[in-house]
Amino acid sequence: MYVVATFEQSLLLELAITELEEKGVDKQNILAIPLKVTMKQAKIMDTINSADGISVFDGATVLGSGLMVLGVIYGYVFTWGPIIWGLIGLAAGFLIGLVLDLMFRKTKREYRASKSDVVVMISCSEKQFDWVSTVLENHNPKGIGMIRD
Amino acid sequence: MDKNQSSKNIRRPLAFVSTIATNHIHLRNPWVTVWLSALFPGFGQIFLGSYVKGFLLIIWEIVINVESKLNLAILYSFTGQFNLIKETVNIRWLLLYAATFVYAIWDSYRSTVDLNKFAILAQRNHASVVPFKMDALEINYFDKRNPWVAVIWSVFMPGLGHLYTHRLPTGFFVLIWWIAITYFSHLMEGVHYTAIGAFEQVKISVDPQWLLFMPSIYCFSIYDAYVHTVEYNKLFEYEQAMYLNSMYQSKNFKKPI
Repeated sequence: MYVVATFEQSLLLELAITELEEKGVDKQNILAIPLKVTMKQAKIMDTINSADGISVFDGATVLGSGLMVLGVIYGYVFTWGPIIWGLIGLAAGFLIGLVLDLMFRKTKREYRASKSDVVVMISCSEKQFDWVSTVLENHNPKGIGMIRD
Repeated sequence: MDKNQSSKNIRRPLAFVSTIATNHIHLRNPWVTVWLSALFPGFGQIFLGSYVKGFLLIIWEIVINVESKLNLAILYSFTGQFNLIKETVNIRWLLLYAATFVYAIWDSYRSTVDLNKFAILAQRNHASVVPFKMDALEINYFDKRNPWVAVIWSVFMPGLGHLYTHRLPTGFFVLIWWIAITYFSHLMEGVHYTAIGAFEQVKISVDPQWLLFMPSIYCFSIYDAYVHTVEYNKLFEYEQAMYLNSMYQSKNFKKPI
């Protein structure tokens, strides 16, 4: 029978596979297929798991740093002083940059690195099923399924 | 262990892994590196991982800016106190500034464009990467790290986000300069007076010549820590996927159908 699981790419995945091998599952009975994310599924916001080519942080940083410099300079003229106005400039620039970036972003960058999920398939006997699935469950899979012979 | 294992025999490498940092090429927007260098000549180069160039350009920028009083001149120009500019600026230094400044910006642009090509070539050639390096003094390993944790640490103290994501040269360079510039600008007195509402006192105690360095360093460190954490995560996935493809797709696997 087969146990099938999907994992996010992480060190836990390697720990799961090596634990199975240590407990007696043969290397050739383990299949791991890293999935590539296609362009259409690309997300707009960067996350730890899916980051696009470069980030939505670009515009925010450019405007944030620019307005922060101006805030510090004119803070010497305005009442609240350079520190508060510097921080106001940073926050305002960051937000405006982020909003502009999200508004005017039309297409994703052409090229993306391989990323995201891995499908793991283990060919094992009926007897092994229990502990094989327990090992997988202990390593934070996204989901587990099985096929009986 | 072979010292150069991570890049040996690879004509188009994607990354060089050493114990103090992973130097890594990936797609970058050339206009962002241009902006980083315009804010502070040398930051574009550091962002690209070109440390020798970046560090020396930054040290030079601080020396000439402080000696020529350029930041004060910028402050006076923007606030219309033009009569003060002529009194402050040191003309013995000022004219030395331009060429290096423009070079740093230009160099950022062209290096980024070039390295982007190499990044694509390396990926197409499936360049291999060693995900763990250790020596007597340091340990560097690929792992999934949270870019927002890097951001938060950098917000508290520029440089710490880089230590988290293990880009030590940038981390300590930024951290040390941040501490030095905080001291020379009297920033902490400014924060103190701001907090108790003594705003006039802030303007008197904080030195704008040094304070004006800080916005660029602050924003750079946050951005750079964030981007590299994201890119290191992608590098981790790239290396792990290559490993899984080579080790766990045996021809002898009994297919279910």
